[in-house]
Amino acid sequence: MLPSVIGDWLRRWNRKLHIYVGLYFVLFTALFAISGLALNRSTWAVFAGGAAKSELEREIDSPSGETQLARARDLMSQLGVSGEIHQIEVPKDVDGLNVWVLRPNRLVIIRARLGERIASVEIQRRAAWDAIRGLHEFTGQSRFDPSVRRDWWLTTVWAIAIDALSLGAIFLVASGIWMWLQLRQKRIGGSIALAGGCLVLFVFLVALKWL
Amino acid sequence: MSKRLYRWIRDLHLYVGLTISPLVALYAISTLLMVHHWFPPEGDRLPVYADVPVVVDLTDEPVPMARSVLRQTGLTGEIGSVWFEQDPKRIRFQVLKPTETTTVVIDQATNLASAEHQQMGVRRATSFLHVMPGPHLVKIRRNWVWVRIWGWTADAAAYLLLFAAASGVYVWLYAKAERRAGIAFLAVGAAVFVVLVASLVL
Repeated sequence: MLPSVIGDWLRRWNRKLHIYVGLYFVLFTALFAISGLALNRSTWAVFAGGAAKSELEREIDSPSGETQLARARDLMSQLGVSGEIHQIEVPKDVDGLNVWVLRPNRLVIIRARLGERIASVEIQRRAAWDAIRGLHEFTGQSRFDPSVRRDWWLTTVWAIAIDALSLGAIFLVASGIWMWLQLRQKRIGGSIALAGGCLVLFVFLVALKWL
Repeated sequence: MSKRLYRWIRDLHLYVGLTISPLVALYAISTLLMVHHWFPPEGDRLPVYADVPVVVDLTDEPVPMARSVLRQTGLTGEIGSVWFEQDPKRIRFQVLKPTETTTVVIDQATNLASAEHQQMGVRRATSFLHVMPGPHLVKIRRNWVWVRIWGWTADAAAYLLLFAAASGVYVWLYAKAERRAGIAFLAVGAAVFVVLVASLVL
């Protein structure tokens, strides 16, 4: 009797959580599905991007800090710029510090001339579709270079949100399959649908090696 | 809302969800791998062939020229960037597959081709599929038929995922017992989404 009671409880909560998790992530799912499409079809006119550039100059104090990252952060703080530091460069020919700062919808390039105590701030604002694509890719982590680390707290929060969405998606897949297994009248149709998806995955993940 | 439409949408939610579930799992797992860079070190480069005579037509565009060399040497895959090196004069290009990357080098003085490949492993293969075809090298991307087909598959997965999300909301609207809790989860999820996106872009 007990296993049946536990089974009923698990089935009921599996269904409830499938609904709740799905609803919680519905906007995140829509964002990543649409931005994924926009990344794959970036040449489609509907996904046209572009950037608007503006530039200004400000006086600065010599940035303080033990490391280049700390000096770049101090420079950004003086200029009121925040975001993920993409690149720091110390030019060879002048006494300066160049910092590239990324956000999903803009790139800010700071070129500080430390001797003159002046920094030029170039802001490249991305159009809406580029910003949506930017959200998809904004993790502060390089796929190729493991030494690249997130250095802005909001990037870390966004990365946690992406992790949560991924775990939520895995839960939705598993809980959905479990719910379907309880529907005897949908076994054949569901098996065909699931097998189709698995076949596609097998072809691309495994069989392409031989094609 | 008619009962018949509801049943149709509910069944479609089930079948569409089951069809895309392996792909959703692939995208979810590869996302975790990429966000945290959970990849093993790259494998060793192993020779595939060395000093194979090939005919190189330099009047051709780089990708068709590279494809012609692949046909002559029995290799297949998506051609990546093609580099023309000057000293010594060599042509170098990568041939990409989810589980392996092959580098082909042609010595232009002798027209001899050599190739070596690197096994990428399952984890890198999932991330390869995640980012393909992607927004980079769009002028030459999809030059292998299987990457073109994968591009359509990825598009279809995105459309079907949107349908699964929308139909899930529709089916939930019928589940009266879950109305209040569902609204709470939807509202909290939407609030978190809006606050996060606004913080990132404003």
